[in-house]
Order: sequence, then structure tokens, then C-alpha cells
Amino acid sequence: MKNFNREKFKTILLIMLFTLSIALNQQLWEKISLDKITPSVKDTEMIKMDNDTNNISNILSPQSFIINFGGGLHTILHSDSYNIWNEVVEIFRKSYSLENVSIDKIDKETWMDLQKFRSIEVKLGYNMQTGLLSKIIQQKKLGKYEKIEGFDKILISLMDESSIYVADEKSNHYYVINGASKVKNFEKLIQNIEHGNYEVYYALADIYGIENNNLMPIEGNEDIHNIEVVKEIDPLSEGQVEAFARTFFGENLDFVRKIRETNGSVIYMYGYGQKALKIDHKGRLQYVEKIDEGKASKNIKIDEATEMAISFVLEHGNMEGINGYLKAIKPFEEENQKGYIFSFGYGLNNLPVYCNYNGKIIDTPIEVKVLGEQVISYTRFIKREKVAIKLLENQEQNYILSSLQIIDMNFPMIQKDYAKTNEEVSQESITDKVLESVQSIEIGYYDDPIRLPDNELSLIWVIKIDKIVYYFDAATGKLLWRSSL
Amino acid sequence: MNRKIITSALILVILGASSVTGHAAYKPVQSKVNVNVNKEPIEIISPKGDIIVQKSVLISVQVRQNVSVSLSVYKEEEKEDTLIFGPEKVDQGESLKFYNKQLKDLSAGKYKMVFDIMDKEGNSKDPITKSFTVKDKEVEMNETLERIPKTNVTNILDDILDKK
Repeated sequence: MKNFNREKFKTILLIMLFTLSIALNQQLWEKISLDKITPSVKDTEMIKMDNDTNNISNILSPQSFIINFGGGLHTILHSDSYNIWNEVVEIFRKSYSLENVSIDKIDKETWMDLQKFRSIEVKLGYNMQTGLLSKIIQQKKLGKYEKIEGFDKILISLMDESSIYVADEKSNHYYVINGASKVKNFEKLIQNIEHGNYEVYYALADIYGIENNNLMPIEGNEDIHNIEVVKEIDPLSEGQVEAFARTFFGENLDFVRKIRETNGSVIYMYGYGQKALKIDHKGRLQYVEKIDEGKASKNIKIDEATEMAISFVLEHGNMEGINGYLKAIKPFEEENQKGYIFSFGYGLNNLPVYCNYNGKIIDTPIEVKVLGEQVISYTRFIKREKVAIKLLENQEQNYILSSLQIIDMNFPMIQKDYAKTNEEVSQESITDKVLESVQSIEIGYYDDPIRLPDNELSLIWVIKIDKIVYYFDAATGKLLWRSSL
Repeated sequence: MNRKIITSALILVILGASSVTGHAAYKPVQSKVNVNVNKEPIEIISPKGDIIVQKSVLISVQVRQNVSVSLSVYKEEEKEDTLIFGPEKVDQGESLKFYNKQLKDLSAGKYKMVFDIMDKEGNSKDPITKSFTVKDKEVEMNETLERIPKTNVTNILDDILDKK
């Protein structure tokens, strides 16, 4: 009898443990976004690259991918969960040295016609110089690609198995690269995306009956929600702060002066201010170096400066787990020397992150200024997603307004803004004109430590219309901020 | 007494002038809705054509009059039409009066959209209908390929030689 009771107890205990492990597993799988771990293209060849080039290629990767299914149906991916960029790089690598490759100019209409059929359009946030491309694909010479100065879009069309298309949209230059490798993998890739759960986009022309082929999501995505985050750098954690400081000043901090301010900020200063690092109480990092005439006066090419900026970011903070990408390159001049400002964005949970910085909303919280051969300033303000397992609790679903509802609610204000800078437009046609000037509609996360709790990012809609960017709270439709382009 | 009359008259003049100036300066935001009894109560933006070569369709309409609209979609079968969506009240929004709905997972066949219209007094008006046909993508592509006239290599070579 005693033995029987013991066995019964063991059985019950085993069942309980088994049930508990299933429950915990279920919560773990729900928390981790599936498309990060499930291979979506089963036959995709994994490209082996050396670590440095791989990291640079990842940061230079596109910020969005437009998937055109044909028949007016589209979707936009804000992260490369289907490994599209590596496939594109592989096409460039394979076709680079082929003898039968030729590059011709095409017109914008041809590009727009191709978008109507099954295709993938890769959008970079910056203009990629072909010198940088040759670095990514590990080629020393530019070869036939010298014909193209730079590009910010790539189009892979299923209508054409042996060509790819590139464009420098800002300069209105469009090219076809004939003789590129076959694009069979992309057919399967588009099918995989089509059979998955994707957010549907249609052209504004199909929604409003106006002349505008820019895309708009028609429903709010039910899968996205506010997320909990943690500061990348906790200024109160001595160990973490010193680890960051060592990346700038070396292992030995004995010759570096350290100042702790009453608000929790920490400042490290080397010498008489030759180098200074500040981590404020919010976790924002700012680093400056005094201009070294010898280094700053050197003339380096933009692709060399880009590589320098990316290497600097990777050495001081890295981009692991935050989907960081280069967003913009701008020239600047200081003390008669020429340089470049490299701005980087990042994403969490497959959405771009916007943050409030000095009262403005920006999408580039990482910035590197390169003057000649010297990095003279570096700012960084990143949050990382908090991974927490909540036992037997459902993910909190946030109700968000669709972009159509947002535009409808705020249309009188938007129209008023448009009328101020377009006085010649008549009252009868102004509504159509406003809708025709919608350039982009995007959802993202908003980090505002002033208004929100520090550990939460809420959802916002970012809508560019004419010369203004509007930021709306996705839950209430309220305008948070607007800025001029 | 005179003073009181003059003061009252002055106040009336000032108020009258202000309201006239204010009314002249007022420019209402032009709504996209033009209340025009001669136009159809709704304009169907999408679907544009009659043939849809996708498993989903975007229905987009603009309400042009001060009416209440509800949408039903039927699949036309041999014996009887099957209701596959609705009736759903068309949510017009506040400013632009647009309504959108995407219908997914449609099988090949003929469909009919029916917009039931009611004026603000609750009286029904003539419904507006539009039909469209959903075609299977693969079938449509194969049919298109078959419609292309077949040529053989000999013909092509003859053409090339003739041109030379």
C-alpha cells in the first residue's frame, strides 16, 4: 500500500512537471518572434563571408523590402527576416566578373511598370557607392559597375530571370544590369512570404482614386504591440559604464579623469580634453575628440569613410540584436576640412525605432562624424528589448488605429499645412493634391523618456506628406510632432 | 440720455462690423464630399476592373452624399447567391468619407457587391451593385500563354534571312 501511494505521488509529480514545462515553453515561443528563428526560405544557400565583411554588409543592409505580389497587392518588410539582402549580395557577387554582363540606362516608367508584377524592391536608406558594393562582395576593381555612381534601390523582377535593376531615385537615374545570375530563389521567396502572415499594402491610387503609387497599409497589424525595453547603458552600473569607457580609452583607465555628476551622469576625460566621453542619466552616450590636424586633413573617399564609421560603431557598442542599419550620409565641413556625418537607425521587434532627442523626434539615434581620417564625434542612444517570460499570461494586445483612420482624423490639419505652402492650389482640388503628395506611411516604435515610462516603447505612425513629416500616436491618433523635410 | 443712445449705437456698429469681417475671413476647410443630388451617392474606387487575378480584393468606396451605406458581398452560384460578407455598415470616417475592406481567400468565380443606401430620414434608395470575377492566377497565366500564336524555328530563321 505504501509503495502504491509513493508511485502514485511520483506519477502526479511527473505530470505536474510535464505540464509546467509545456506552459513555460508556450510562453517562451510566444515572446520570441517566430520569424527570427524559423528559416523562411528552406533552399536558401547560406553565404559564408568573413566576420568583418559580414558585419559591414549587415549594417549596410536595406531598411525596407517591398514585395510586389502582382494584381495591386503588396507588402513591406522592415526587417530582413527572409534573408533577402544576402541573396541580393550573392547575385552581385556571382555576376560581377561575368563577361556577358552589361549595364544600360532605363527610364523611370520602365521601373514603375516592373513594380506592377511579381518583384522585390530593396530600399536602402542611403546612396550606396559602387566602391562600397565592391567591398561587400570582396572585389578589388569596379569593372563594368563603374558606369553606376551609386544607387539607393534595387529591383528584382520575376518577369526577367537574367536581369536586375538598380536606381538612384534622388538623381532620377535608373539602370538594368543584364546577364545577372538567375533569380529562381526569389520566386520561392515571394511565394513563402505570400503564404505567410503579412501586412497588406495597396497603392494610394487604389484606395483614394488619385494619382499616387506610393503604398499604404489598409489595416492595423494585430500582431504588433508596445514593448518593454531596458537602457543599453545603465549609468548607475559601474561595471557596464567602465566596460564602455575602456573601448574608447583602452584597458587602463588610470590616466583618465572620471567625474560623476549629481544627476547620475558620468564623464570621462582624457588629457586636457583631447577625448571626452559622457554617459548621461538616461543612458545616452556622447563621445568627442579634439580635431587632429594631421588626420583631419587627409582626403579619403566616401566608401573608406563609411567603413571607418561602421567599424567605429561596431567597436563601441555593436549592433547585436537591434537590427542596426545605415540610414543617411551627409557631407559637412569643419575648420575648413571636409567630412561626413553617418546616421544609423535601429529596429526592435521588426519595426524601426524613433526617439525624442532635445524635443525633436529622430530615427537616427546613432551618429558618427568622420573628418578626414578621424572620428571626431559619436552619439548613441539605444534601448534593448526586455525578454521576460510571463507564466500563463497572454500577450497584451494593443488596439491601434489604421493609417487610413489616422489620416482621416487629422485631415483638416494636414490640409491646412499643405495650403500654407501651396497657395496656388484651388479649394476644389486641394484634397486630391494633398493625397497625391503622400510620400510614405510607416509604423514604428517611439521612445520618449519624458512622456512615457523609461521602460516602454509605444507605437506611432510616421507619415510624410509634401514637405512635412507627421508623427501620430497609433492608439489615439493624436499628433505628437511634425517636422519639415 | 443722448449719451446712452450714442454709446448703444456705437456698440451695435462695432459688433456688426466685427461679425461681417469675421464672416468674410472665415474659410471653411473644403471637404471632399460635394453634396450633389445629381451624382451617385457613392463612388466605387476599387475594384476598378471586372477581373481579379488574386485571391483577395480591395473594396474601396467614397460616400458622396449624406447617406448611410451598408455593404454585402455575394458569390454568384448556379442556384442561389451565397452571402460571403456583411451586411456591414460602411464606416465613412470623419473627413474624407472613404471606406475600405479587403476580402481574402476568395475562390475563383463570380461575385457581386451590393451597397444598400439609406438617406438621413431612413428611407431606402436604389442599391448600387457591381460584379467582379475572381480568376485563378495559374489558370489565367496558362490561358494567356496559349493565346500567344505558336511559331516554329524555321519561320523565325526565314524572317531573319529575308530581312538580310
